[in-house]
Amino acid sequence: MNLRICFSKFGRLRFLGHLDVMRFFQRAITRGGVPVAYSAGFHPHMIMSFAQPLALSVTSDGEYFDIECGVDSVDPDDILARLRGAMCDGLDVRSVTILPEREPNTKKQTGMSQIAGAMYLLTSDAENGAKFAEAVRKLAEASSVLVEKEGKSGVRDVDIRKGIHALAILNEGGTLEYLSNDGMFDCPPDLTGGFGRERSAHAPERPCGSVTILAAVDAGSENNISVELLTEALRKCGELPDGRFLNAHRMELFGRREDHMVSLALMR
Amino acid sequence: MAEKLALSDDILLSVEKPARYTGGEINMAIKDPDKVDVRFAMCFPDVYEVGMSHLGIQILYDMFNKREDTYCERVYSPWTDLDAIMREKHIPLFTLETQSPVKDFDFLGITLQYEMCYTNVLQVLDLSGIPLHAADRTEEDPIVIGGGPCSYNPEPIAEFFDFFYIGEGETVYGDIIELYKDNKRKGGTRADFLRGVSHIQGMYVPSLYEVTYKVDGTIASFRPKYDDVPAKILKQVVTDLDACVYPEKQLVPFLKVVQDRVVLELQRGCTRGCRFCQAGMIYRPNRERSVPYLRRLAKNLLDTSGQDEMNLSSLSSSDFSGLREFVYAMIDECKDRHVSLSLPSLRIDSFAVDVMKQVQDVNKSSITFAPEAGTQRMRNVINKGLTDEDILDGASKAFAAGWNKVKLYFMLGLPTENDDDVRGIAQLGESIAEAYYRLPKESRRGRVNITISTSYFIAKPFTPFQWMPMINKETFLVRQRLLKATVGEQLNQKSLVYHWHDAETSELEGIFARGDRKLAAAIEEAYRDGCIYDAWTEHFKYDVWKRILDKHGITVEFYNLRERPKDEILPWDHIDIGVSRDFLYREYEKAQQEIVTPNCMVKCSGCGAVQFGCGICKRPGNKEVTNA
Repeated sequence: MNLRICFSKFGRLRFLGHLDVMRFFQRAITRGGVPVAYSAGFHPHMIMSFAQPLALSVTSDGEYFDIECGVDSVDPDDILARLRGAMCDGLDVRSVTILPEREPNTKKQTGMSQIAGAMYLLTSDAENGAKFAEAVRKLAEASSVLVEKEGKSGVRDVDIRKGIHALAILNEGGTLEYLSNDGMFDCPPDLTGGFGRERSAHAPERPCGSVTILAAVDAGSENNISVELLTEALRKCGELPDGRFLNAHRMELFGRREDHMVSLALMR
Repeated sequence: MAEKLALSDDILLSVEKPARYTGGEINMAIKDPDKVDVRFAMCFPDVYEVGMSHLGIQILYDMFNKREDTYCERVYSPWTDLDAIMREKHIPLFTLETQSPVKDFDFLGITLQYEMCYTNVLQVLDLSGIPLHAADRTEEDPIVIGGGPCSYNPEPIAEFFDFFYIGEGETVYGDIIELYKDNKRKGGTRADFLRGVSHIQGMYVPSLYEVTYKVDGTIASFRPKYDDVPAKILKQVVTDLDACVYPEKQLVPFLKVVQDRVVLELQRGCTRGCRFCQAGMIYRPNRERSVPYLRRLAKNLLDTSGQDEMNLSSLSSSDFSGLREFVYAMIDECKDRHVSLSLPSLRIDSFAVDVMKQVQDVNKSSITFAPEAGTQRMRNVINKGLTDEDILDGASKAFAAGWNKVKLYFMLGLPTENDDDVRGIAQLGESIAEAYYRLPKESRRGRVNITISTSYFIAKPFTPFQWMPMINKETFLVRQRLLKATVGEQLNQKSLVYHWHDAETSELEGIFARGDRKLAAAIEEAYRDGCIYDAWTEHFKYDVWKRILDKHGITVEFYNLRERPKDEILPWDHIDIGVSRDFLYREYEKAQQEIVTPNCMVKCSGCGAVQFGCGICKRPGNKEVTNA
């Protein structure tokens, strides 16, 4: 039996690397007494697979990993409680769902291989708020934006505009004003609720004068638009500094079902 | 984000492994600093991954934080990348827990695990904004305490510390904290507090002692400045290891650290009495924990940490009386939990081979021996009770069980060492290889792989060799070459690999180990000239050190190469480890006569540790000798 676990990463632990997060969860699973399956061999390891790594300093409410359980039936609420008891400030488990049994002779679908999209909140610093808003509006209007992307065969220019499916600015009233939206994602009107939780529970603070936007983009192995690429695209559209000027928060990861993005927690 | 980090995101993103500086680990103590009386910053002056691997800090951290009136936080040396940024931007050194400046604390406790960390001690003080010299500190500065093995001869760094805690930390820190609170309530000064501290057994306040030198540089006198300050400082000892504090919940780092496992301390001290070994003397008497206590502890530690590896720690595991019972119980416990078990310092015999078969992968692991010397003569000098037969017999048993990798550890430059002793190292390697090839071909797995490593013998205080000369760097190189050539002459030389350590770090370590207060100025200048992380080969600046030592008139001839006469006042003579100077001197003489001293389990040799009234000295059947 396979379980999919959704967790948040925030606070001081946003500087934890991907491997360290994996090690943390291995230990949390042990501490919580979660019945996980182990591989064979002299040094058995837990059978688990993590979805997309998160860049250092980015917070998230939509991180995922799958584990294989060594028992025939589990109560997801019990697993959730066990894992929550083993967390520490900066990492929290948000949901545990049971994945359907795999059809015989089909390839194993891990969280990683299902990833097709991601939704981010990007918050500028106070100084660059106005310029940032201007750049976002230009990006929304543009039909193509070329940025340098490092691939297997070196650095090349790619057009990432089509991979940006929705852009919105967060208004003072807390609603989202969409500047562009191609309908791939179910776009929320504000940040309350959604995916069974508040969308920005652990997002960075929004200092006075800053501007916050929502961006829904392609992710995963096929066409990954990272926060870095997105920032680069914004720089192309406006007069933004070369150094860091924004904090990023991942709201959710998505899989693709036909022509629509579906939260990874709901993918089967 | 509610929590404020001491470093900005920009800085954290520009340094290697930012999680070194952000804390928040599992089982970290969380308290409100405003609601405690005493804030204690506990420091290991090396990088996070090294410092977090140290059990002693875990023990003291847990002990302090069990007190409601105290909040103990951790601080480690910033790595060189952050070090440069903190200097440039004037960012004060901070603790991991509350990310607050070290300078705001009541105490800064620094553990001194090896001599090569001394410049890092100055780095920590300097980055914290605390005056390097204890004499320059004001009522606003933390009280700086040193502890750990190097505090048994703290003289080279004495002027940088307010006091040293000599001995085991579990015993009287409570008294020190009460004294501090009491002094504060009464409006007492820093000096009042330190004077009071000097009355607690084991506490050495260097500023309360005066030292004078002879023209030849040796000590003429060393005495307390005041009548109420003790002339001798007797170390602190835990008499019952089952009754003292032990962290039931160990901190679990996020980063992969050097010692990335749960550590269970089986016993403290060692009964063997190897004459080069400082740990074997300063931790006397040998004291064991009971098996039921250890089993309960192991279960708790594994439950609360979730670690997948456990290490049974001890200076000589094989001598632990409950070892069989305990290890077999642990093998079962660990198998159920998918935890791997490691047992360093296990003497290879039938039992060890049986244990190894159950806990190690024969394809990936090797068997380890530390004969320390290549000939029986030399091993008698150093009182290492391990014979060629023990080694060959153990190795044969392991070979029969499928192992084909062997690691051998030796020292070069031991007192009285001659060329035959050096050649003996290669010959011992050859004998082990031959033992392997005597196995029938069908039970061998390819070629045997024997690795010989040598380090540079360093004479340490509180060992019988404290009076002995070390060899110079040039002789060391000659002996390395001789050994390398002899390895090349062996029949099975293709199965032997020889590794050696560089001599330059060891030379300095020798100077620090038996150094006196005259070294402080040189250490300070080396630090000012950019020396930090001297324990790290890539950061060790031999040229800078050489220049500064020369300038200060500090020579290897004086500190390392000369034989010290019996009546010379040694810089550490005012520290009393409970093992008498007479015993050490008898051992020094017996070493020269190549006479072996039996270990404490066989016969008491009257070292003096019986005064602590515990451990091996009081084990039923052991007859104590007060003066042999």
